[in-house]
Amino acid sequence: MRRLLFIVIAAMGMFKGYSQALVQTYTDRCTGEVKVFSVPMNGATTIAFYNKSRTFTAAQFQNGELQAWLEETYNWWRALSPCSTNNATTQTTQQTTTQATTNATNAATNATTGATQNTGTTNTTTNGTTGTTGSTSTGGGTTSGGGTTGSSSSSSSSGSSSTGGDTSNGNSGSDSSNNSSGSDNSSGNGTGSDDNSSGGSSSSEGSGSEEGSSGESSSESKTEESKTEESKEEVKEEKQEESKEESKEESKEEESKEEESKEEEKEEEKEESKEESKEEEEEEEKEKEKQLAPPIVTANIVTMQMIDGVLTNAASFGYSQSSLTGEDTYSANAMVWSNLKQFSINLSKS
Amino acid sequence: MVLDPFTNKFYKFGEVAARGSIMKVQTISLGYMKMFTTNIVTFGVSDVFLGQKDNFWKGFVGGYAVTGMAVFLADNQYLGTAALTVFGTKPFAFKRITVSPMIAYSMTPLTVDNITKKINFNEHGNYVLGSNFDFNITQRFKANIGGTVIGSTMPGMPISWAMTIGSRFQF
Repeated sequence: MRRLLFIVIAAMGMFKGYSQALVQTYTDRCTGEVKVFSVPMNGATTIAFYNKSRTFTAAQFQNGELQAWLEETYNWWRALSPCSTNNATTQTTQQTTTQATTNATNAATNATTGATQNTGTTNTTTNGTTGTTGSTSTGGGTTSGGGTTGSSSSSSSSGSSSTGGDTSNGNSGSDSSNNSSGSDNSSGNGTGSDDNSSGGSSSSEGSGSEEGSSGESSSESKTEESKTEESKEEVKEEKQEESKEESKEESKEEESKEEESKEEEKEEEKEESKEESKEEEEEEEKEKEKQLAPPIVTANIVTMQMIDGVLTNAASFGYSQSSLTGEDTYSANAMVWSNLKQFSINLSKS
Repeated sequence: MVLDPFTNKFYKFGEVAARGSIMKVQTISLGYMKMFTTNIVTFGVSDVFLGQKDNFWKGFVGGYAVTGMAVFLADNQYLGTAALTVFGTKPFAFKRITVSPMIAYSMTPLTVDNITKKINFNEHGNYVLGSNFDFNITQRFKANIGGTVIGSTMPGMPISWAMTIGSRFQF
């Protein structure tokens, strides 16, 4: 400030002998704005200081009137400039008041509407839970019925999917059990063939005993008979082996079929689990969305007169969103002045 | 809660939520303002009390705000101050318009400067008088126009004013 005063006085001294007007270039320290104004000189000294000028005589220089004026002018500038504390306080007060009342009104409105919506939602959810408890209490067999009788779409979908899963599992289970029983039958056939073979041997013995019991016979016939018996036994063994191989192949095929069916079941289960997880995620996202009330967006244009008399224009934007219950409200406000050298941001939680 | 005598379990079949009233709304705010070369950081707490039903203050919305400000001026000068604001408004709802006159008073009693390092007392304050008019264009879209007059109890401080035109939309 002293430097500026020195420059002004020095400039006045320089211009005094050479011109009849004082031209002063004034740079605002706050806004950076450059102002040029001239003061005519008629024998007295004109002082220009902070957008104000006044003519002083030598007597006023001596009695300290100039100094008092300079201090007064500086205090005036400090009080009224856009960078002053008063201006900042005024702006902050105005914004605080406006935003506090707006937020309070919004919060009260949201809380009131949220409370009414909550009473409605609790009733509906209560009905839904009673419906599901009723279906579950009746038993698993009627889960599909419970799902279909469920009032909410989500419960019916889950019910249908669960019943679908149960029925598919049941079918596959029964099929697999049938297949396994089929394999058991084949294995039973195998054992049966073994029993038959053992029976064959016993029958050969029996035939031998029968022959023995029927009377005497030649050894050739015996050998032939034994050959035929051997051939029969061979044929039987071959048949048995073939049947065993066939049964093994069948069992292998059945096992492969079982494995395929199991793999298919696993894949189906995986797909179902993936679909269920996706559905759960979507439901969670929907629930999260439902937890927030619709946002409120405000846009305003403000024309204000600053305390130094300058008119300024500003645009303000606001965004506020509250929870569904209305307990928490988050809001953000921004204000941008038309000179793009002033702006404000405000975040608040109610 | 209903007790099942066979299983000894309690079952909940529903809820009853009674509609209450809101006593106050507390807001915590954090702000930043830049005015040319001056930077201002604010932190505030405000309590807004809502008028209860069936008494004199029905529909009245009023409260106070305590705002701490750190003002960073040019030339490495900064000061801290606390602003106390008291405000009140009462909306009058008509068919398609809501009129909300408001009054506020704010003061900064204490200011601390980093150069002088002294606490300065200030008994003066600023007052705000104004009114806001909300027009219900649709159920969710509202237009508003408002005007405020800001004055100061400090002698020599001029009166300033502000006009606001805007809209409010609820998705």
